[in-house]
Amino acid sequence: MGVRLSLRRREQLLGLALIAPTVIFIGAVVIYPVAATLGLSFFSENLLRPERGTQFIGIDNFARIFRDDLFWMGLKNTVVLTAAAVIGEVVLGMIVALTLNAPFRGRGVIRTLNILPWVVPSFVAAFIWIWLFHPQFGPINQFLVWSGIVDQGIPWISQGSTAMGSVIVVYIWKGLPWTFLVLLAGLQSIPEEWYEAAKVDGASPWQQFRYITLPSLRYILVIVIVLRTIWTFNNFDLVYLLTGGGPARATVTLPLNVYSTAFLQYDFGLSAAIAAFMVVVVLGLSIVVLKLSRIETES
Amino acid sequence: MIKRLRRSRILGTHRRRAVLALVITILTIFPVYFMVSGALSHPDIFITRLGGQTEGGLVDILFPRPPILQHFQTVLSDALFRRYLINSLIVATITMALAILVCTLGAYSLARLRFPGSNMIGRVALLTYTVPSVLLLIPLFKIVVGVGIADSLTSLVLTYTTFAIPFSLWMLRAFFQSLPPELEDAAMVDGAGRLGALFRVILPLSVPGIAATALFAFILAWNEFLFALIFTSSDDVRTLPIGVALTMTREQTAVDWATAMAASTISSLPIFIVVMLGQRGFVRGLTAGGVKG
Repeated sequence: MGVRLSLRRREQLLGLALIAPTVIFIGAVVIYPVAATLGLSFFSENLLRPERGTQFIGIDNFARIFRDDLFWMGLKNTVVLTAAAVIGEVVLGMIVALTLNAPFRGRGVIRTLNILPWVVPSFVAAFIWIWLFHPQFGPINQFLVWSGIVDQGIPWISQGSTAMGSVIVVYIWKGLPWTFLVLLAGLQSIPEEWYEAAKVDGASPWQQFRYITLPSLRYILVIVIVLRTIWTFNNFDLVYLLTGGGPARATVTLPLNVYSTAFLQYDFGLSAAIAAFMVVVVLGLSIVVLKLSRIETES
Repeated sequence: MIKRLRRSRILGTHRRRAVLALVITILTIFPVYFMVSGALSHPDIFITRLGGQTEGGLVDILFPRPPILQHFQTVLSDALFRRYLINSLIVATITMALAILVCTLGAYSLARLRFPGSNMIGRVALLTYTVPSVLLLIPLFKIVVGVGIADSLTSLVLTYTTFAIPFSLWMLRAFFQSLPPELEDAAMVDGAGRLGALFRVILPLSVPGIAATALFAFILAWNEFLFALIFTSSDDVRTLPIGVALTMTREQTAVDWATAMAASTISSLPIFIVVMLGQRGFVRGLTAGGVKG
């Protein structure tokens, strides 16, 4: 009995030893920084004014960001970009998934090709699209001019009226592959017999979609929407590389605000407050994900 | 009669779907196609069009006649670009190795060795997957400067390894749990310790899971932009995303698009190879969240 107990103890110790590297990495690179940023959001710390040091100022940083037009601009743009991109990805992703959920020759090749936008480095994606959007050399404008739709190339990402729309197009292009792959995996888990039975009962294709496909994909849809929302909300590099937030802040987002406040204005406290605001939003969404994934595994 | 009608209708829908699938694919990959064809295009077409476009332009880019490799030579003969490329390869490879090591041990612990708090560790690790990366910027920057690894590849490797942990940990844990515990029990009865059983029995059976971890860690490290932007400041330690992006912004007004597309093509090549290597298993890992957006 004593031997068995010490064996169990040994297993526990080994378990702790094996998980230790993981805990150290996550603790040092994620947990501590998150805590430090949340703490810093209540302090003033500006590298351009080192003589003032770090001072506790309560919620002054938050009061400042809520008075700041740039913050509201960033928030509005982030919400618009995230909402438009996620809706676009889910609607198009559903269409693509339904299309590819049928056996035809070359499906494997088509699926592999469709993954490419998702895995291509974001700086490559950004450069391709900056070129595609280019007023003179860009293929999009060359096509529009050649076909006589416009007389002169449109500066898609460098004029305020079209910049956000163009950025949204690039985000949808990059996010669509993941969305449709997840939905496709969901579609393939629906038993074919259900559709057969519905057909026998005379259900139209729309009715089949409405009463079989959609309910079966309910949880997957929610998880796709929430994850894409979190990822798009947090994304920095694609919009930074495409427009840098311009023109005239028309595409500035909260992650860009956090970055520029910290590393261009060196106002660490203020930057931390914007980041803290973001994490509250994201945390709310994450809890929803966890709850739902638990419901799903239980049912 | 009815049977024939139905069959022809199904065939019809399938053909229609195949056509629709082709249209969708063209819409998704035309930017990637343009990247490659632009890189192979004659440099003149990007210059002569400065004044006003003529009709030939688009066709010339779509079907470069003849395709030329000059721009690839230009890019690869650039010592700085080669430096960035090598740095990216170093960072991605070491990240991959480190992520495999850390996650294999951690996932095995979570899958087989029950100890107080193991569930919580797993859940917290998963939750870190949704943390906004901008939330980590300032403290990580301070740590990196404080520890004295600012402006080094080490800072990037350690950060990227951590980012690879949540997904890999959960995937490998599920993989280990799917293997019958009797395998290790048998090995341990034969005198092997836990670790011996892990390395000699479990790991050889887990190659697909470990390979997926490796591929996703590689892609993550290869593509990462934000922390490379913050942590590195000298050309010696810059990775491709930052190096190429800075070169582009420096040239701003007179970007040589054909060369830029050649650089982009070379930068994407390792990723394309990884996707081709991964095939079906890669798709499965991707839908589980292997590459973040």
